[in-house]
Amino acid sequence: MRKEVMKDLTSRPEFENAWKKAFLDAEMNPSDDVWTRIDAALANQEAARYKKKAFYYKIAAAASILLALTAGLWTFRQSQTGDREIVQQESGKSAPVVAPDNALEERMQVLPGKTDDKPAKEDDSFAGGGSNSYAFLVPAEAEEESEDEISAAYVPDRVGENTTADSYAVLAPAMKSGIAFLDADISPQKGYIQRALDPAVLFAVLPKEESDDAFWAGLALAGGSFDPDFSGGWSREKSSISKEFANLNFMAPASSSRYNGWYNSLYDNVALANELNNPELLTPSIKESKPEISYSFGVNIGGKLGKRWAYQSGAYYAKNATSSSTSAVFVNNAEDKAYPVHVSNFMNKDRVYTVNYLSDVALNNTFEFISVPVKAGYILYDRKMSITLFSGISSDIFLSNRIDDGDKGLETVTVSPGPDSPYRGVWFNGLISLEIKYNPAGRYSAFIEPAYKVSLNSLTRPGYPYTSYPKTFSVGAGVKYNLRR
Amino acid sequence: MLKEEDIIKGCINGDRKYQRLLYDRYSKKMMAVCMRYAKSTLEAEDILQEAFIKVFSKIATFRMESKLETWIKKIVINTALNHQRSKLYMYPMVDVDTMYDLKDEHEAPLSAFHVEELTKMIQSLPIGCQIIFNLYAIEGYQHNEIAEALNIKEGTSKSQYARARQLLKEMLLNAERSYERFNK
Repeated sequence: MRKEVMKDLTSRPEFENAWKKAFLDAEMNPSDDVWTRIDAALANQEAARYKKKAFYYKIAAAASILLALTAGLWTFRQSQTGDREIVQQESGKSAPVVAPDNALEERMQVLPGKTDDKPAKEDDSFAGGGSNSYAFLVPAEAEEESEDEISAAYVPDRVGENTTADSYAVLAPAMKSGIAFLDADISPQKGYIQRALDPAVLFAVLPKEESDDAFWAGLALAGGSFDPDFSGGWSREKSSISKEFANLNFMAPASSSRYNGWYNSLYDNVALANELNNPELLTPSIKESKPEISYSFGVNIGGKLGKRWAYQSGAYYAKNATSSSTSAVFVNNAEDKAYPVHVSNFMNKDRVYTVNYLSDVALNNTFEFISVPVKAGYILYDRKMSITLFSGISSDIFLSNRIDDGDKGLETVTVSPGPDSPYRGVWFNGLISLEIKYNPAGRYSAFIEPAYKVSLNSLTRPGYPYTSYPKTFSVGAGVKYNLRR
Repeated sequence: MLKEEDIIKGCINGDRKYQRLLYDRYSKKMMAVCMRYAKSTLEAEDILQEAFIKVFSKIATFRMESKLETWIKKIVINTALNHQRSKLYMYPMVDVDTMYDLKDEHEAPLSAFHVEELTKMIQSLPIGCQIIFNLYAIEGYQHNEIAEALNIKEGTSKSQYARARQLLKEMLLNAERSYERFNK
C-alpha cells in the first residue's frame, strides 16, 4: 500500500502530493457519543428486521387460516349435502339409491338386492358399452332431455317398487357434480339402468362454472407499470424561452452573497441564456426515464348477462411510480430548502423561490389514484375455467402526486387535488383486459387478468404547458364469490 | 490481536462485540476523512455514524478482494458525498472563471502545518471546492471520475479544483505570514 501511494505521489504534481502525504495516516478522535448512536441504530435495525419477519409470519398465518376456513366450509357444505340425501333415503321410504359423493361406489355395496358381483349386461338401448365404457344411471324418461337437464336429473330407471320421487333429489346433486359416473356393476333388475357414455358426451355434460345469471363480488390485487407520458413544457427555442420565463413572472431577486450572483432566478437566466447563447443550460429539463413498480388493489362486482356477456365494475386504489429527473431546483433562501422543479410545480410563482440549475437529478415520481372502471365483457370460453375479454372506461380520481429524490437532500414536493393543482380531479381512461377465471370449488373462483389502460383526456388541466396521457399495463389476480349460484 | 477475518465474520453474524472492535480499529482514520468533507466536527460525526451503520449492514458483501480499510473508506466517502449533496443543490457547481495563480515560490511547505490546521483550511473552502479538492488532490480521483460521481461537467470539476487550489495557497501564505509576524 505504502509503495502504491509513493508511486502515485511521484506521478502527481508537488502540490497534490504534499496534501495527500499530509493526510496519509491522519487520525482524529470521534467522541464516544458516536458509538453510542451507532449501537442504538443497529439495535433499531435488528428490531425492525424482527418486525418485518413477524409481519410475514402474520401474513402466512392469516393465509393459512383463510385456507383452512375455506377448505372447512367447502367440506362442511359437501357433508351437509350427503347428510341430506341420507335423511331423504331414510324418511321417504325411498328405494335405497346411490349416494352422491365420493363414497358412491362404497355405498353401492350395501344396496339391497345386490347379491352378486357379476357385471351387469348392457341393455339394448345403451349408447355404448363394454367393460371400458363409462356407465351411469339414467331414467328412461330422461333420454330425450337436453344434456344440461340430463346432468341434473339422473334417477333410477324402471322405478322399482321401492323407488320414490325422492330418489331424483338424491341423485341429482351427485350427477350435477359429476361424480355419479361409474364403472359399476349395477344390474337393471336392481332398479337402475346402466348407461354407457362415450368421452365426448361426458365432456359435454361436465358442469358449467356459473349459471347465466351469476352475480359476483371479489377482491383484486394488481401489479404493473405506469407511464405518465408527459409532453410539452417549455420549448428549447431561445425566443420562446424568454416568453415563457417572463410569463412565469419571476422577479430578479435581491443579490445574495450566498449564491455569489449565480443564476438567481428564471428571470435572470433568460437574460443570461441570451447572453451566453446557450438556452440548453438554462431550460429545466424534466424527463420521465422509466416506469417503476406500480400496484393497485380494490373490490369488484360483476355478473353475467346471458350466456356470452358479462359486466364488471369496482373501485381500486392505485399507487403508480416512475423514475424521473430534472435539471433545476427551486431554492427557498430563507428556509435553506431546495425543491425539485417538475411538471407538478414548475408554474410556481412564489417569489420566495429562486431557481438553480444542475446536472440531471434523479427523482421518484409517484401518483396515487382511485380508479372506478365500468367494463363489458364477451365470454370466449365458459367451463370450469372461463375466459372473458373485457373492454370499458375507467374514471380515475386524482389523490396526490409526490416528487422526491430518495432523501438525498431535496425537499419532497407533494401536490394534492384542488384549484391550485395542475392535475384534474377526475379524468377518463379506456381499458381492455382478458380475464382468465377458474372455479376450483363451490362459489369461489380465482382469476388473473392482464389489462391495458390508456388515458382518453389529459391528466393535466386544460391550458397547462404540459400534457399527460398516462398508460398503464398491469396483471391482476384475485378471488370472486358468486352470490347467485 | 484478533485477525481481520475473524472480526469480519463476527460482524457478519451481527455480533456487537466484533462490530465494536471494527469500529475501534478504523474510526479514528475515518473520522479524519469525514472531517475533510464536513464543515464541522458535529457534521463529521454524523457522517461517520451513518457510514459505519452502512459498513455493518453491507459487510456480508465484502469479498476480501481489497483491503478492508479501502472498502470502508469508499463507503465513508460515498456517505460524505451523499450527505453534502443537499448543499450542492443549494450551491450548484458551475464553471468559475480562470483565476490568477499564485507563483509556486510563495508556497509554504505543508509539513510546517499540523493536520488539524490543514483540515480547517479545507473545511473553510466553498462546499463544491472542498469536495472536489478532497476527491482530486487527496483521494486521487481523476476529473472525469469526479464529474461522473457528482453529475457535473468535467470542466466544472477542473475549474472548481483550480479555485480550491488557489484559495488554499492563499490560506497557506496568510498562515505563514502570521507565523512570521508572530516570531518577529
